[in-house]
Amino acid sequence: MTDPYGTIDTLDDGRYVLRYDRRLRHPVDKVWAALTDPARVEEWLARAEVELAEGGRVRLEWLNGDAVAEGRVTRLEPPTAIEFDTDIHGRLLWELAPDGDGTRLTLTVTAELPDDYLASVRAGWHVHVDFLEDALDGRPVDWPNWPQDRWEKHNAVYEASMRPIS
Amino acid sequence: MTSTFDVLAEPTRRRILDLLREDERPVGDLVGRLELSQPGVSKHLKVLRDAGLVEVRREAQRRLYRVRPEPLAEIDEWLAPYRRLWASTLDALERHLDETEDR
Repeated sequence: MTDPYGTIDTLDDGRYVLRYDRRLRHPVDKVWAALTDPARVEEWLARAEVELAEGGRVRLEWLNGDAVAEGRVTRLEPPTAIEFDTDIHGRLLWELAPDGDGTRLTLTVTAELPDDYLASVRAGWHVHVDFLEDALDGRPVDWPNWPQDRWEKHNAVYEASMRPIS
Repeated sequence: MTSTFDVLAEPTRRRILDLLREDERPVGDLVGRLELSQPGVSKHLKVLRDAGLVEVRREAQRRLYRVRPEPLAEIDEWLAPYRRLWASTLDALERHLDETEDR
C-alpha cells in the first residue's frame, strides 16, 4: 500500500520537488498509453499534443481552467519513463515499474512555486493522479463537471500539513 | 527565434521588466504585484528568460529574477535613426519658434 499523499522537498536552487508514489491496478503498457496517447491523456489531465520523441513539443491545455503548458519532451524511455519540461509547471517526470500484475507509478514535479501556491499545486497533481486511476478504471473525467470538491478536500489536507505548528 | 520586439509587444512582460528594473524579485513577489496567477507569471518569465531579457540568481534558497539589459540594444539600435528624425523635427520647431518670436 502506498501513501496517496505526495511528499515535498526543496532543492538548493529554491525549486520544489513534489513526489507522488502510487500502486495502480493496471499493467505498465496500459498506464504508458494513458500518459502518452493524447486521447487517453485528455481523460485525466488535459487536452494534449505530444510529439513523442526526445525534444518533441508538448502542449497541455487544462479543461478545468484556462492554463496552457508548453514545453518539450526531455526524457523518453518507453514504457518506463517520460519527462516533460514545461513553462508553467516545471519538469514533470512520470516513472513506471511493473509491480506484480499492476504498476508502481512515481510522479516527480520539479518547479519554482511561490509558497502561497504550494498547497493548491500539490492538491492539483494529487487529484490528477486520482483522475488517472479513475480513467484507467474506465471513468474519464467529465471536464465541464469536474469534481472540484475532491481537489478542495486534498487542498485542505496539504494546507494543514504545511501549517507551522504553533 | 522570437525577436526582442515580439517578446516586448506583450504588456505584462513589459510590466515585469519594469518591476525587475526597480529591484530583483522572486516569482511570488511578481505574482502579488501583477495580480496574475503563478502559471501566468511563470509563462511570461519563461519567454523573457528564453529571450535573454531576465535571468535568475540563487540566493540561499531563493530564486531572484533580474533584468538582463543586453538584448535591449537591438531595440535601441532600431530606434537610433528615429531619434535623429525626432531631433531634426525639434530643431525645425526651434527655428520656427525663433522666427515667430521676432515678429
